[in-house]
Amino acid sequence: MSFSAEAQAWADNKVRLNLQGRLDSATCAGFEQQLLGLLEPKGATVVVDCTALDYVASAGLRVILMGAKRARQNEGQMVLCGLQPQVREVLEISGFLKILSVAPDFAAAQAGL
Amino acid sequence: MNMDDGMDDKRHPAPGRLELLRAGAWPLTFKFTLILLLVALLPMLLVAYGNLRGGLEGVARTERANLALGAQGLARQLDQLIDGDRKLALLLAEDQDVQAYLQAPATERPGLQGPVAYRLALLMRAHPELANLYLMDAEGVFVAATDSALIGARRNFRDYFTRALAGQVYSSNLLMGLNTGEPGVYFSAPVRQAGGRVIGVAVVKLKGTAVEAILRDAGEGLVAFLADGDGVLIDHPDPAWRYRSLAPLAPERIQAIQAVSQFPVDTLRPLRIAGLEQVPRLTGPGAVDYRLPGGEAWVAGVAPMARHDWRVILAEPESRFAAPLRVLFEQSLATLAVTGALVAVLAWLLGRAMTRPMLILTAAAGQLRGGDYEAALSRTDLSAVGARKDELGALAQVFRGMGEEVYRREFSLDQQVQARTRELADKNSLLEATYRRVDEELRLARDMQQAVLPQHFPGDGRWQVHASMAPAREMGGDFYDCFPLGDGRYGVLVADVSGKGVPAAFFMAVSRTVIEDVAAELQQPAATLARANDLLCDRNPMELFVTVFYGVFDPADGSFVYASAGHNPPLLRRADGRVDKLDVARDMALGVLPGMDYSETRLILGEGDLLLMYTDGVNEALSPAGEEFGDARLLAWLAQAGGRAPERLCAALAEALAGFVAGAEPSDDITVLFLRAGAPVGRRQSWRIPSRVEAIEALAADVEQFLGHGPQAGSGAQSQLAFQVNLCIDELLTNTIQHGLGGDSGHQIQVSLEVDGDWLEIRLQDDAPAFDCFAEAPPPDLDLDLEARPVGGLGVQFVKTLMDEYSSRHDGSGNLVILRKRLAGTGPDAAGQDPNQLSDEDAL
Repeated sequence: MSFSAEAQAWADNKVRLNLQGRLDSATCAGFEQQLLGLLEPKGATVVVDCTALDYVASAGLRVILMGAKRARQNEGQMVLCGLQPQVREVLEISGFLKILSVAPDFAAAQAGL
Repeated sequence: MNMDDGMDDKRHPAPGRLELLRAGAWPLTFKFTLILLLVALLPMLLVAYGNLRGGLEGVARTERANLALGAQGLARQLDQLIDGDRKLALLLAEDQDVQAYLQAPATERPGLQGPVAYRLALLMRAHPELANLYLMDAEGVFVAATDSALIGARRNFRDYFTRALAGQVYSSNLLMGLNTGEPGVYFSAPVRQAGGRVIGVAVVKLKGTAVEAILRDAGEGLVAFLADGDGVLIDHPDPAWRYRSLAPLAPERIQAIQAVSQFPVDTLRPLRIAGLEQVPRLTGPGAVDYRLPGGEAWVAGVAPMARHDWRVILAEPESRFAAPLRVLFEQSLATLAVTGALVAVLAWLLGRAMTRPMLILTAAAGQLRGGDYEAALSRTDLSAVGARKDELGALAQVFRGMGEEVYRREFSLDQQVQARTRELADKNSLLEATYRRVDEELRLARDMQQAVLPQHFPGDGRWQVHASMAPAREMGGDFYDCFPLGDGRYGVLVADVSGKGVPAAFFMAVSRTVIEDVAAELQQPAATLARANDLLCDRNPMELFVTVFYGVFDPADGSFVYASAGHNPPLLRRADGRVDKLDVARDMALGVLPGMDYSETRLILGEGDLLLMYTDGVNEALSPAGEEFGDARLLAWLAQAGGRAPERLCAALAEALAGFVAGAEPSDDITVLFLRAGAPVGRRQSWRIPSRVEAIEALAADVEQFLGHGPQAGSGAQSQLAFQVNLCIDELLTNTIQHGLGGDSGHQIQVSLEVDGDWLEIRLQDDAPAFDCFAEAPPPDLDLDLEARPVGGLGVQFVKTLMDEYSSRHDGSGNLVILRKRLAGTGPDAAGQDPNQLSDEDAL
């Protein structure tokens, strides 16, 4: 299964990041670089589409939290969408749902921007 | 000096602050110095002080006499001045020109005035101390004067006129001139005509400054002043003192004086200086002491004048003559201080020289007491003390001799002890080798005893059985057995041989063989026990016996037929959780008496029923407090232990007992046998993975597959379970790999999963240093804002949230983490325990 993250720009400084597979301590290092890189430009918007993300561990959550902090610093936005029920449960247990922007799917995420 | 005190000091080398207040606690050197200082310096101090006092008094006496003499000298000078001017007044009164001038009628006087004026001017020139010369007629009118402005003025009310007119020669006090306002002394004498009748008065006014000049010339540092007959200061260098009375005067007197004297003050205030108040009372020359209001001490000499009622006072401050003496005293004190310091240093050095040998002896004695003989006896300072010819030298020599003797004895005693110790050690090692050999053989025998018991158990889809025997340290005689009887039925038994040690072990081996043989032949439990009893009674030279519970189980119909030879009744747990003791007949143990009968009981075991056969090592296990595990605890344990495979139950009961005895060595063998009727429960799988996070993904797939094989395979609930289990395993493994092992990928971690009844149990075993992730990780604050939220610390929180029970312990070789989760679709925990903390009893 492993993990991949594919970035698609749909407008200037707006990127959709499609996650797929397992986001755990073995795979999070590359994802961390990619996500923080996308959020680096001032005002960057990243929609993290988790529709195909089967699994996330605390190492992955750590990267998502860092991304959210980076987005706020750079006056950008980071939105999660398409959470599978179990991934959603992990985010809920960790209290992340309260502090992250979450949308049901990509279209809703775009609409809410 | 007191030697005992010195020794005391050494025995209590650090006296407290309060202790030092007692003279007994002072060091000898200090006392010696103190005594020497007292002896040498105190008399010197007293003598110096006495000298100063005597000197001061003598000088003061002399000074008073000198001042009195000085005052007399001044009084004489003033007397001469007054006498001279008095005579001048007389001379003027007896002058013929003057007499003629005053005798002449007023109309003729201007003609006679020339010689008189010439006369007055001549006298005036010859006597510069005079202020004025006058002639008055009998009416008191100035008819001639050196100051012509006065001529014609009338002064018939003044004393010098009235007294002279009455025929006296008169000297006035120091009065104020009415015209001039200058002070002066008036001398008057009557001018008579040939018949003796007074026709006028001749007056001489002496300048007050002339009197002052004499007094001011009294000498450097001295103060001279003048008091009149009333004690009023008519002259003083300090204007503030002038016209003040030495002693208080009556108000009428003050009025009278003021009327006559015309002093330029409102009133004659008294000085109120104690010593000076005596002055008006002195009749002859004398001296007085007094203090100024500021406190300065003064001494004064007093002399009355012969030609007047005045007194001359000559004063000086005491400091003027006492100063040299004080300097002398201070010099004496300085000398004394230097001498004292020298004496102190000398005394201290001397004291130290005297106490040093004692200190050396004390130090050497301390070393002796501490066993450091060589250091004590080879001290060079001790030899130096020993070389002295005095008493201390003798003491040091005796001390050395004593020390050497003690050393010699100690040394030989030491040698003897060492020799004996070596002998003992030899014998000990011999004993130890023997003991080890015997112990090793006993251990082998115990292992053997256990190894001969069945390690593999029958069982199929209808029933399962498992047994274990944990031997006590001393060889015992417990055993269990489980064997097929050939017709599809199985015999199961537990037995306990009386007594301990090698005989019991032998009897156990014999008993087991006999019972198994007889069982194969006779099939029925009661008959088997009866026959085995007869055989064992024949072969029992040590008169041992064995209690046996023997049952025959038929998996085909679930029937269980059993008999007991004096054994404790097994426990039966029905599938619904009910636990009871089996009814057993009270029949005799095997090997006691031949020819015994045994009764049989039959029951049916249904699906899920569980039978526990055990020896008394179970219910008689003792806690550290001496409490027995007991039947009640065993019944309760069995009640909540259902739903697991017999093999797991054996291990679980063993752990429960281990937790209860808390490390105490078991005093008896512990034998248990679980027989379960029905389909088998529980599945188990283990993996060993390398300590790399990349290995976790493959394990996750295996875990999912293992959990997918359950009865709810493929359902959403099962998939959720797999996700949660994998998340927890992932978090804990990542924790262990990254923190426990510090990222070292050369280790192996064992992961095992077991589904047992209602429970899923996950075990993670590593070889990392002790690390309790549940105790050490602080719970993250889930309510923090995005900015404040720390990155990390969530993994343990997931485990605590998603699992029902969790525990971690370090067993010496690594950490064992046990997670338990109640599987979906089953009720709450039967034992009602805290679901968050795993206790030892059900740590499986």
